[in-house]
Amino acid sequence: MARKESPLTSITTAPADQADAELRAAIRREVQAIRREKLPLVWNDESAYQKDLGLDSLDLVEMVARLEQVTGLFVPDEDIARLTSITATAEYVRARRLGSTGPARTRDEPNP
Amino acid sequence: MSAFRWTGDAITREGMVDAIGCGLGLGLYVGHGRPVGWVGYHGLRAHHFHATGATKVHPSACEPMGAILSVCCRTASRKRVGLSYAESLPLMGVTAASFGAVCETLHTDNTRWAVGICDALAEGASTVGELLVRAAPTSPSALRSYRLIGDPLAPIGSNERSLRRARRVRTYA
Repeated sequence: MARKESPLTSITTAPADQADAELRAAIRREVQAIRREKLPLVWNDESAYQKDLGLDSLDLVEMVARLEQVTGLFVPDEDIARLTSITATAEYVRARRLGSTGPARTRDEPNP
Repeated sequence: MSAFRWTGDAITREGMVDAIGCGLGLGLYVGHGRPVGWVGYHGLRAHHFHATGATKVHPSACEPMGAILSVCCRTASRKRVGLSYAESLPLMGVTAASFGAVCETLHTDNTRWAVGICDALAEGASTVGELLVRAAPTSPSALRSYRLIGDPLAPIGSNERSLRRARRVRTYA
């Protein structure tokens, strides 16, 4: 059985605004899926995961794992600290998908 | 889908051996592991399945688990053990398939596997091979660390008799 296709392939094919909205909505869903009861009543895409939303480091790792499942991307552990909010996460995913920035080198890869 | 949560603070080692012998479809262990077995439950090793009679004294009352997934370090490693814990379980008839790591693992990779496994279960994977293919993370180190031993076509469903047995497993929650 083939591995499932990423449901977010539209972020490279749809118009930029639509793709961005879909991506943010998908990330928002994953953040809510981790620990809905932890989230404050009012928050937005700029809210910081740890400071404003109360997510801890384990929650962030789970969020990254979910993000990888949804997008099909591999987020190196070194890049997790860059994902500080939904906006930052969306920008990171978009940049990786469009190939404008490569992933940070993982500890498993040899030095160039 | 029925699920039982048997954490180390709620069940003894002997209780866990009984639980694994209920004939359930899938067991997922998350914690610390070594080539000799799980660190949890005061240390669960392959020989405990003999010692408590789960596979020996009352074989008619025991059924193998469909698959046991050890999402932790080194349960499939042969370092200083000859035969690893993950290899011993299918050979002893405790389970039809066993999934474990041959080296130390990163907790981030283990989280990736755990999330993927839960998603694949929710999507209705019916065999352990299908489950792992669906769950496979994108992280190269997560893929490189783990091995599946046993039958990849092992079904991971539970029948009502197994569920009844599992509900009777003694816990202290």
